[in-house]
Amino acid sequence: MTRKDKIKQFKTTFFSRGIISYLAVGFIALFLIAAIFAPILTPYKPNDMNLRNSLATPSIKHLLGCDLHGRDVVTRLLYGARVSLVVSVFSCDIGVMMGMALGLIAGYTNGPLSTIIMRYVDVQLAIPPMLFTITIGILVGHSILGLIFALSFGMLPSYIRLMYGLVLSLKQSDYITALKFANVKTSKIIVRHLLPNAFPTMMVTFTMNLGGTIMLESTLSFLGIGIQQPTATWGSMVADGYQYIFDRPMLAFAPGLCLLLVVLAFNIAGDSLRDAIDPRLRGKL
Amino acid sequence: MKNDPIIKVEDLKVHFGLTKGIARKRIGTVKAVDGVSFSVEHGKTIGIVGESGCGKTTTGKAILRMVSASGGKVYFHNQDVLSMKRKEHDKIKRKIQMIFQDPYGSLDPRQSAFSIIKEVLVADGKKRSAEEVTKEVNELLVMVGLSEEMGERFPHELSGGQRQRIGIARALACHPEVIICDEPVSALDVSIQAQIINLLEKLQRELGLTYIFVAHDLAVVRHIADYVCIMYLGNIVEMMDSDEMFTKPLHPYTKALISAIPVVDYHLEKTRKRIELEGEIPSPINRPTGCPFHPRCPYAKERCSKEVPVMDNTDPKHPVCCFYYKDLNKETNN
Ligand SMILES: Nc1ncnc2c1ncn2[C@@H]1O[C@H](COP(=O)(O)OP(=O)(O)O)[C@@H](O)[C@H]1O
Ligand code: SF4
Ligand SMILES: [Mg+2]
Repeated sequence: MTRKDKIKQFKTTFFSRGIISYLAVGFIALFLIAAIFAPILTPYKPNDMNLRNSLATPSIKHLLGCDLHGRDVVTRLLYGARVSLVVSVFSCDIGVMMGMALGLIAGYTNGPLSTIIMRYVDVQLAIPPMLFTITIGILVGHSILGLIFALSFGMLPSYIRLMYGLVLSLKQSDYITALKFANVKTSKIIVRHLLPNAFPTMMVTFTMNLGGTIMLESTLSFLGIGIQQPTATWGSMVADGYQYIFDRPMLAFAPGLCLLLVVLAFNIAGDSLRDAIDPRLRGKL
Repeated sequence: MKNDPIIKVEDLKVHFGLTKGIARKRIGTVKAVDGVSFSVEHGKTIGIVGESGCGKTTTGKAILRMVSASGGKVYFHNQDVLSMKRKEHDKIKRKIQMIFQDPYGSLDPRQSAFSIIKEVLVADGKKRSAEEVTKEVNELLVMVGLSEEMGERFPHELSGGQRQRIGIARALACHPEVIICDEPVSALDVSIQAQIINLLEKLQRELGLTYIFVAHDLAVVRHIADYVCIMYLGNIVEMMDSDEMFTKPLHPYTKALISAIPVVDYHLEKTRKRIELEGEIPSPINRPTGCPFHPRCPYAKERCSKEVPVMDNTDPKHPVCCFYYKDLNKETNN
């Protein structure tokens, strides 16, 4: 099979859910464009107040109106996407990489170190993740860096456990056993077989987790323990806007809808990715 | 010396600890292999037969040090394998290889057939040019009855039989002297089983291989093996030349296994005596006292539940582990 065929097959399986998968990818693309090009896409600044526009209704100049402080809602949505993207990508990256490393150590060595890691996982999993993240978030203060730290720390145990299970089952598999019988180096077995075979599952979980993390970040901001005002985040926009839910429904509805769609899009993309990446499903859907 | 055993297993034991809870409290022992001894001569095939769970795979893995033995010795060319240091063992490791039961789980789904074989081939650390590697891998593919083009395929693009051939080629890539075949055909269709068996026999003739052939199909074992061990619950209960397995079975368990095979001849089927085994295979966690077979043995007497029978070596080529086998054979002969 040539490289071209492979890419073609990847596409067919990835988009096997039809219109929904196209919509999901389209929405993720929009989200990325909004986050990256926010300053070009809008003439306003997200934090510029103009009290004459306080609670302005939608118009040509302000497509979704303005909030209490007269800040353009569209602009704040675009900049909010930025925060969501940065926070979720960084915290999931850190979470997944640390989780893979620790899970690999715990699963492959199976010694005292492994026991320590897995006990830590058990302890942290006993605390509700929301509570854990909120506590860490409060401890490290209201900054993007602090939030990333809290979020990645909060998701770490689930990644460790996932990787641990994958490594345990992979290392028992006959094809790894055969390599051991043939004297293939352990480092090669890990790099060429364990990691690549664990990667698809980790990747799928990572993609789905992106949506969940955006949601969690917004929840924290909604509760006022995330990123500090006046930085625009979707969570704090919903929190600010819902006081005017009957007069100016767009203020809370627009960021809420954005959240919903992004989370949904990442989940669908995660599912499609699993189908496309898993060679056992290749060509069957 | 040609007739020295190439592999000799002496009183091999593998006990797994059963643990429970965080504290890993020991709640029992699984005696998966409990004192197995046999030896194989160069170029011969020894068959190991027994119900699933009787410790066949574990025996194979213990010889390869994939699970650690709790006791006993394994000799390869008179070298004690189990007591070797890791470095020493690494040197002889490749001489003993394994073919696995499950043709699906034994190949990395992300690797082409070519790269599966190549990876194992080059792990011996010898210097080869890229062309030499390609040539050798292609030779191996042809040797197991596949075409060179098959090398490009991925496991999911191959049939069960083709996958098993790749598994065989991978084992051969180590240039082994001994191959442990762990039920290599039991996951395959009957028509393909015969092809794989023929291939294994051809390879044995051409390369002078020694096989330890694990199976639960008696007909397959009689066909390929020179000598057969019947295993029950971690023990060998009878050993004999494979020709004698059907004509002169002595142990009650062997008799039961033989009589469970359907016979095509109608008259023979009507007249022959069938021995039905009652009850489940007892688990190796709660091994019965006395003869491990006594709860299911139709000939069991009181002594069987109290004393453990030892191998009777009256006929050194046909040892049996049963108190009463001589009496039984008088009965059947009458
Ligand atoms: N790693 C292990 N831990 C505990 N018990 C095991 C382990 N591996 C195998 N066993 C037990 O040992 C017995 C023999 O297993 P196995 O050698 O796979 O049997 P067979 O290959 O003859 O079907 C079984 O009862 C099985 O449950
Ligand atoms: S020793 Fe007794 S129980 Fe065991 S096989 Fe012989 S007759 Fe049966
Ligand atoms: Mg087995």
